[in-house]
Amino acid sequence: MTNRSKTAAPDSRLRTAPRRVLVVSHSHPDLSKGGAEVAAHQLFRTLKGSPDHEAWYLGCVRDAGNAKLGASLSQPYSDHEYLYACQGFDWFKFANLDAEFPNEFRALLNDLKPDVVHFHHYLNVGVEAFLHVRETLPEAQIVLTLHEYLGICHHYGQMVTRPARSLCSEASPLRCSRCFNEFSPSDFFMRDMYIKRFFDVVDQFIAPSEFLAERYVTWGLPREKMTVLENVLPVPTSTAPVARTASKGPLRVGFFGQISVLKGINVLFEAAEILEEQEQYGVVFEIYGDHSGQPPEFQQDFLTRLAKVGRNVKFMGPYEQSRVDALMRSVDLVLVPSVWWENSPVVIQEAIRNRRPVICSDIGGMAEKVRDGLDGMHFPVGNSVALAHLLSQLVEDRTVLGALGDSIRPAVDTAMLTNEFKRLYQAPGSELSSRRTAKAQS
Amino acid sequence: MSSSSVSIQNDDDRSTDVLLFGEQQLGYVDSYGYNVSLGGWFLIGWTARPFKMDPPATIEVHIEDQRRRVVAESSLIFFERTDLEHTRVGVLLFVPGSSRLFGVLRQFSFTLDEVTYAAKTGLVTPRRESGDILEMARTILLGQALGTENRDQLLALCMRPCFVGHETLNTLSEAILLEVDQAIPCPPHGLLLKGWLLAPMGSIRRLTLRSGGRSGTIDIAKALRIARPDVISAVGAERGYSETHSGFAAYVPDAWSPGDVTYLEIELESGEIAFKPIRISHNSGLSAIREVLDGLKIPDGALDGAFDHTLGPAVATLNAARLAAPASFETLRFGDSVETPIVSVVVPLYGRIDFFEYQMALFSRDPEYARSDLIYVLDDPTKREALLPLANSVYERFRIPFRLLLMRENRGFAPANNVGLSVARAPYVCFMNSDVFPLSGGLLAGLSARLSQDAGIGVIGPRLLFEDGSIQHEGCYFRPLKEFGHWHFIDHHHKGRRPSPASGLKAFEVITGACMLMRRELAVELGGFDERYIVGDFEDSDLCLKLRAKRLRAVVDTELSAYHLERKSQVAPSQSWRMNLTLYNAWVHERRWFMSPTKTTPV
Repeated sequence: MTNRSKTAAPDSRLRTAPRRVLVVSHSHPDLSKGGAEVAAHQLFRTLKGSPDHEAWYLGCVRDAGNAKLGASLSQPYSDHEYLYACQGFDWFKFANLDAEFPNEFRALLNDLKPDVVHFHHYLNVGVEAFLHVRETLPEAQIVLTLHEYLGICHHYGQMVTRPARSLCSEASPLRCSRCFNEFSPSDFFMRDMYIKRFFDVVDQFIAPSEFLAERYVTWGLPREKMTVLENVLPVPTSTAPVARTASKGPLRVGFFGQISVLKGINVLFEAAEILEEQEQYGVVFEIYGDHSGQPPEFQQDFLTRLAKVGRNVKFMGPYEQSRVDALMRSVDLVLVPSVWWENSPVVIQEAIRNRRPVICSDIGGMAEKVRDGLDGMHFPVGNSVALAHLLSQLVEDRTVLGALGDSIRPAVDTAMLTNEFKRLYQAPGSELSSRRTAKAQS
Repeated sequence: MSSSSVSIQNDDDRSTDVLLFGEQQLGYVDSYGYNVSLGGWFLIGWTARPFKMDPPATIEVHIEDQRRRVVAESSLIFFERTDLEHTRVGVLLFVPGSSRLFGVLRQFSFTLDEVTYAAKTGLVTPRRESGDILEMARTILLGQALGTENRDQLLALCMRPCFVGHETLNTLSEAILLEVDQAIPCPPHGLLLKGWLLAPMGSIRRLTLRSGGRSGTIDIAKALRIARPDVISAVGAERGYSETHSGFAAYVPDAWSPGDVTYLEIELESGEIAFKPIRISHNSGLSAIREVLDGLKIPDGALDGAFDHTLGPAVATLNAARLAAPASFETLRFGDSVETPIVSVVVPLYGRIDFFEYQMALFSRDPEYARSDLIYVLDDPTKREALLPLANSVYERFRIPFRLLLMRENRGFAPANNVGLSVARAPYVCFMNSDVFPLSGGLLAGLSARLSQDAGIGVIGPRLLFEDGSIQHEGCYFRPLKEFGHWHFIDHHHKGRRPSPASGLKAFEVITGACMLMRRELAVELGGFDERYIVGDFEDSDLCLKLRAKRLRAVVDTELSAYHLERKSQVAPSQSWRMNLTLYNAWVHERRWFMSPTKTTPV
């Protein structure tokens, strides 16, 4: 038997009882540092720290070595955190094939009796988890934060075609089958039916950007179930005032995050090369990030390009999340040259809170989160010539950068954001929750 | 003279009562052997001499080998032997039949004028080779045998040219080019030959297939002739032949003896005879059917004849043999189904078992499926290992009770559905394809309610839609196709068009078997789907026509819909057998319901 929390579930109809929230994610920050699991865990910690809430966290672990024989749920971190050792997952339609999971999950739900189950992903637990919640706790509210476009797009949820990697605006069975010709259009039709069957059970969707929200509404999610709210990030530890950007010396351009083709690393390399050719020595690129998770061919390519690069590019290697503020403050602006739509890149939020202007591609979530000419500047996606030109101009006229520094929007107020989430969680006994109960019992 | 009866103990303790004439001993078998060419056994020895030695044309002989006794018809010939006393006489029997009629000979006996004569083998009695025993028989028949009609006939048989195991076509004065590429056994005794033949017009008098005592003529005039350009370019042209349709397929229904040497005897008008050995294919069941139908492009206008005389009987025989034993299957239960379900849903699974997972996920949207008697039938043993954990996982995920029937071998659409029907228990049964996904809520309740309100409806189905919402099926009609002998094929009304507004029930000649609901007892009465249709084709039409014969209608309820992701079956050139299989099913359907065979006269 797993060691389950012994917290008694009070009568959830009483207003004074704390609201019980179970946050579900597909991983755990201890195991990986992706945006979703970091945001999920941050939400859990924030809620747990609030006097009027009780919170639990359920994450997943994929490596079988961690599984304790006979028990798929374990608690290696604290008595409010659970880890599910997943066995068998269908990545095409996000189905959890593990025959033990439904029972284990339902038992956990019955133990904890949450008022709200907030999913920050359905990978590893499977989309059927929404149904398990609905059937076990008819009155619970089911919330899902959408992190990328996985439900819509089988290409890692990035809505970029394969193999050309051109931008894609809308899915259809025929077009998806062209990207993946091992699957027929019928397969994509069925995938869509399967995923939507379970998404139908979700009460509330949260999109970190308007852009992502629109994509999902176009795909078929009801607009009335959609709310746009940023992810809650860990609160920065440094409270030192932020230095203004330097007015002379080389312009330091920082790239932060995962080093991959879709994050636009090659656009950076090409722009650097163009500036070198033009003998524009006023720009220096500093790359902070990790390439080790990429396919071998990409890593090979990356290292080859690094070797050929001029003096204006420096590879600084991976960085600890706790150092990101200090690192960002050491550069003049942050470059986000992604060649895919993005949603709400954490790096942009981090740059904003450190008062660093963001230079980014003019599409998707990036263009939404960075107001052109105010929070930073846009350049046409993938266009290294335009990027080089833009950076050149910023070197020539340092006042532009100064002005941007002043006009950057304030950082997201974590406390206010957290309150938004709390308001979103419906009070039990509300009209919406009793309608749900009636439906589940029919 | 007095006679006494003695019980002879045989090796296996069965006793044989033998009437001895005076103090004569039991007779003796000097030699025996099987001749492949004639297709029969020669038994040579001696017995007591009967009063009258004029046996009938055929006489029953009891033969005992090391294990058992068999009874067969034989020709009996007596002959004088100088090495024996006068009370004994030589006997020669010819027993046509299979080389497997018996094993090691122990004794044979026959009864003449109510007296039984027997002969026993000794320790040194040899079994002779095919050629040797024939030579011995010939010598006896020419020399010492008593001149009777039996002797004359058997002698004539033995003096014919003999197949000695190899081809002798090149000994003929005419240039006959003949190859048999495949000889497919159609149990119990049929053989379908495929090959090619080049011969001067009118040169061949008769083609006979011989095998273990059986024989059958091949009527080349009625055989299916197909184009073989490879033959002309390889051998025909250099011999002056320009015949394009040298290929043939011919069916001989009763001439093959399993386990025996099989050969063709070619007799020319000139009287010359040549032989050709035939290698029998090892295929059976569905792969034999495939071998029969593969690589045959039936020429225009030859369709009726091809199926009536050749392919039809061959495939029908193979199919009957393959389905002779009752279907064997294992039943797994997941969850407990309700006490009194209204509808049993039968879904055959083949190939794409993941359809089952998708279907169950969508069934979980509607409580009526958990209240039905769901029966999935796996007609694909190769998928068994993958399906078992999936079924378990699906049950735990969606909690819809169902039964899973695992067939031991692949049998096809009709047998799989019938197996499901055999275990169904609700008053209504719905046959549903695995790639049908309900769109309307309460689909089963709606269909069964309509059915219960109108006793004149035999079968009912919903509208079926493609993924894009256009019509996949809303009733079928017959369309005779000129390119296929004007046989009636089945087309769907409005296929691919946008659906018109729903307008209640519409009756049709045929509705598709992809989703059809009917009273279970009626389905059982009709025998379910007819298993003469192979793999999957026309059986739904057959069912609807049976209903029509009982004055019951087939209707579509346009108010209810489901998706049907009809897979396009690519018929690649290598898949010509699949096309021919569809033609076979169309032929069965056509002959039963539309046009009987036209009389054909030899050209």
